[in-house]
Amino acid sequence: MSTPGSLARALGVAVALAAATLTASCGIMPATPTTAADAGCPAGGWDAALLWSSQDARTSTVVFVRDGAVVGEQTLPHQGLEAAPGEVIARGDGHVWLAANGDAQRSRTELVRYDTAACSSAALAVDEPVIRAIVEVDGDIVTTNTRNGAAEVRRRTTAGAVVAEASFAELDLTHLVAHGEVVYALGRTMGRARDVGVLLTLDAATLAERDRVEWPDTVAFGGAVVQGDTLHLTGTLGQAGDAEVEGDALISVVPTTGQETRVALDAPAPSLLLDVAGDLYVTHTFMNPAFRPTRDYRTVSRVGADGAVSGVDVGEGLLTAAATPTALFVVTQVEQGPARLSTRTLPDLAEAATVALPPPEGPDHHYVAGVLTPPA
Amino acid sequence: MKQFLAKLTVGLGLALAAPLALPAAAHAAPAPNAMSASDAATTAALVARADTLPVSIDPKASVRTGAASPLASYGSYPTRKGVILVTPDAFKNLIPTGHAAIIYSSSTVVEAVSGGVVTGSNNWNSTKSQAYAVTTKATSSAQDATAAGWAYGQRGKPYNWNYFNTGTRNSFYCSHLVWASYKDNFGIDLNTSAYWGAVHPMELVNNNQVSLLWRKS
Repeated sequence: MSTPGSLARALGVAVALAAATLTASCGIMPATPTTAADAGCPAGGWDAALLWSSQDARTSTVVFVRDGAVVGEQTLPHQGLEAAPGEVIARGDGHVWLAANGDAQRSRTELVRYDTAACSSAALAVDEPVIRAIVEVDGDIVTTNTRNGAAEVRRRTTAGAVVAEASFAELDLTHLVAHGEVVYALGRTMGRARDVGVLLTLDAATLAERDRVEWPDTVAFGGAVVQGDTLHLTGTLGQAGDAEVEGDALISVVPTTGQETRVALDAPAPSLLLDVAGDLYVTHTFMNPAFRPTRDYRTVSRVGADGAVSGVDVGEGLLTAAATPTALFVVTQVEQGPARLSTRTLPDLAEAATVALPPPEGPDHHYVAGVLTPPA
Repeated sequence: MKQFLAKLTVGLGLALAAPLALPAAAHAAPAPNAMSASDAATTAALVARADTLPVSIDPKASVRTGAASPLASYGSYPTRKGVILVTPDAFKNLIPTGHAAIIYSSSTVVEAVSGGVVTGSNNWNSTKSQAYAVTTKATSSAQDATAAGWAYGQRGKPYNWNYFNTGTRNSFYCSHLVWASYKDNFGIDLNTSAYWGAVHPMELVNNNQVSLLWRKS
């Protein structure tokens, strides 16, 4: 029979246990400074590699492919790389930067530098709950997140020292593009009765705002690249009345003059944007089945330097792509099944090889987090 | 870790007559067995019940969007502002207390983590192994949007380490933020007795005041 005292102690223990376990949810645990992957590229080289990641497992997996066959696999000690489509990846010369945002509760955040020549990774733990975009600027890294109602942008050295930072109220910034002395930051307003897309021009050194442009008919950007003075954007989502709708155009703007043109594309939801020798390649896809089943996304558009548009059916469930000067590597996946990595020659986008890549085995849930290519 | 323990002790000090001195190992190591077993049982019970709930078509969606998944998902993935997302996915793959967020747009969610109230990608359909989406029965879509905007607007407020102090609005944890969005704006109390005074994320699903719109399990 319980006494009041024992009941109180029992209740106290129960409450303590509940508190301790809840403390671990939605929270950040202490981070370690750096981590490194098992180094080493496949003997004989590789054409492309698929990234699997997880918010359950503490590791991610790289699957190397050559000539349509798997030639190696590597485990990376990084959790929660952002999922494709919408993955956070900044491609540099011989390396890429990725955002590892930890488990479902954002318990650990890392900026991961993957060396595509050595096939090794190193990570810098940062005290931010989530990284939404990365870009490299003169050897430093500029990142953004949105926290407590304001977008934060930081410039860090590769050693992790913050050399500049800025905060922008009522904005959610999701893409960063470096261009000379400026960094373009793309996103949307937050907190308005009707939010709109926004482009900030930031001083690359100080991150001070130089200019701001709003797009009332665009609310989500999928990608951006600079050619000369022109910034090309994909408006993945637009607005019609109060409803969000899939976009269907490539937006080209000269930020210094505000001159804007649009090219109609052959498919909805333009997302990732890749520049290969002046030609632009656009994946048409979205991060969730808000507008159509995700398996219905299956088009890659090519916009030539002359403005000519053509579309290619790459198979159902288009997620993401990466390019080399001679090939486009396209990833598709239907539901939770195997991913399909296809190699398409450029500029005709003819399929040269394809390989099915099942998710890593085990109890943990894995998703596609991007595709890597070796140095040119 | 000392700061972590201090915060917990402060929290428990408010909740209990005598603060408990938990062994440091209980926090330094990810989940001692007893703690995991206790929490796992509660969470497992909530998940088991959630998996029997009927899935509804969103009665507030002006246009039916999305598509029912023929495989692991049931219902249409919701992207309407103010819909509540919940996952029981385990912390560090060990502690199954889960997480909750509120949809802000087709591409963005608002969630409270220990760094504050942040935005994230609305991609729980791919990143979570198990997840649920619910909407409150008594609100309109416009009111749901107000709740999401309120959650986003909790500017500069830190993480609430005292999980039983749901009365505070100076700090938030994940399910606390979602719960407060509906409690403060529309008087809808989604807390139940399943997890004492704290708001367990799965309580937002196991609740007769909400309709289940989507499930991935």
